[in-house]
Amino acid sequence: MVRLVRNLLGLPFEVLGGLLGMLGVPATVSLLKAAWWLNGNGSTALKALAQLRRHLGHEAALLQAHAWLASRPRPEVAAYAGLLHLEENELGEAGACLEQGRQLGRDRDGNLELLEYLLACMGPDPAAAEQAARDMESRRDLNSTTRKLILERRLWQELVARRLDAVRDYARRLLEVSVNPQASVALWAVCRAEGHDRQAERHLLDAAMPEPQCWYFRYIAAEAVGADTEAAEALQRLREADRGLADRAEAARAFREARG
Amino acid sequence: MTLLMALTLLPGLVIGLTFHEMAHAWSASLLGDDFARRQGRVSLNPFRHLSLLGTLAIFLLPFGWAKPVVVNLYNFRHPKRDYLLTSLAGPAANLLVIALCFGLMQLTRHSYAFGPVGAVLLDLAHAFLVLAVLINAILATLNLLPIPPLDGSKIWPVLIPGLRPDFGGKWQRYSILLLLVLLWTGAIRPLFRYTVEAVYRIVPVTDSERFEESLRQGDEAYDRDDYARAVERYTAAIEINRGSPEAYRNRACARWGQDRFEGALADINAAQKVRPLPADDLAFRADVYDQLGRPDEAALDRAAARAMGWQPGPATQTAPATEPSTAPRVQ
Repeated sequence: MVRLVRNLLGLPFEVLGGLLGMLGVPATVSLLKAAWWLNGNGSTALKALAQLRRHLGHEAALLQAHAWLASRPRPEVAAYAGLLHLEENELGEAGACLEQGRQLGRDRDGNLELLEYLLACMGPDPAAAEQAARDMESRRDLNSTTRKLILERRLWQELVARRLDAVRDYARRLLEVSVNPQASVALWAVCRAEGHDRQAERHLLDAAMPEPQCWYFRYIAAEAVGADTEAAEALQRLREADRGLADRAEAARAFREARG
Repeated sequence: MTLLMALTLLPGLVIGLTFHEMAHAWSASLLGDDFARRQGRVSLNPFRHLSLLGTLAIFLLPFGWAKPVVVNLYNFRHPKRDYLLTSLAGPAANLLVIALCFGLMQLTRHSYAFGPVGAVLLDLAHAFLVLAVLINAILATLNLLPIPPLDGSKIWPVLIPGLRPDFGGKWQRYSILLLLVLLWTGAIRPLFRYTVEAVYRIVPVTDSERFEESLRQGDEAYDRDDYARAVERYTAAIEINRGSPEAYRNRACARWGQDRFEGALADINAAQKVRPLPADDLAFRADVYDQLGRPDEAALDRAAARAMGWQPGPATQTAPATEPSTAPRVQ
């Protein structure tokens, strides 16, 4: 009953805040903060933090998230703060947010798992990310962002392992939901490996990505199926576009070769 | 929309929305996506599904809505097919509710089988079921429209070759406005009316409706002095509801019109078995006794009627022998 009354009190602020947010009016921040203050729902806090970030910037959102974590801790807020830390490459702080979020209970939106997965991906150990993808793949309750990232990573794992049927299956699942340049690049590689050059070109047309990502993924794909000429060309173009990313791509290849 | 009307619609709408959203969440879970389950949506608890704003809207507008079930397509093995099935589950659940209501109506339609109090309760229950059926039919129909975020916007693009569902909901913001305008202006009402009329045609008729109809037909025949037809319709009404003094009393009047005084007396006595006779009916029976040549009983009834405050009208002094002093009038 108390919860219902609090939700009722917060409702006008949340609705109005949502409408103003759609129109890009900065007053949305104050309204959503008031709604969160009244109803105490983690999802409202997330909306308020997202608008805060949009209008006042990353730093302000992070400060506010930590202030709320101290005064009214919610797992949703902890996950959001962790994701903000990740954007700044602050893995330690993000890890602490993940721990705090787990202790606070279950995050219904599934952002804690996203944080967990991204932490594994951004950590120093490439094997950790691969293992995280394998471990989390069997989970059926992840949110779409996390699940998509995992499917994409599994797609590349299968391509590197040259299990082409599995690659095709992952690519189909990704492409059935939306346009996915990574899946299209992977299918290009599969078709190249099988000698279907015309089909391969068609997949490449669907793989529109900004530089340097397009060369990064084409390098990995070509290298995985032994298309050496394309791999060399993609690496060259990648180096021209982003030397750091080219080094990472080569390091990843070296890591795979070392692992056998 | 009046508060009373909103409160009348509320139970059917809450049931319809709860089953609808639960069906989406449950089917998604069956097909491999437990995200909705994680959010507590695989439940028949209405509070898990009802949106506060959507529920309050029922009191202001002629419609309401629930929180949409978030489906993660990446959890599906066959995203397109499974999303289609998940989307179809909502309207299918509304059809299931309709079928359940029709099943229950087979009980509630025979209201007179459970005594007078039971009849009132069952009539109320039947009215509630009819409303639930109509609301669920509207929900199922409305949701098949191809306007995001309605289910039809996910169903038709999958079924029609060459179209692609708007999984990302790019146009949802604008289509919600379009939908609100359609509902607000009543532009969509012909569809609702057609649905309601089509469904109402197959709603089982209750005994009380049949009874009322027979009684009405009897009254019309009586007013035309077609006493044979009136007796026939009142008899039909009595066969449906043997506990109605009104039906016996009216048939007694019609039989009086046919000069069948024994039958009229039997009917008034049958009415008396159901409930004590009011003064008018006692006076009427006194007239019947007179016609049957039983003055002592007529005098007793007339005295009892007078004791209850009945006053013979001036017309009775000059009334022809075939007209009773109370001028029989169907009630």
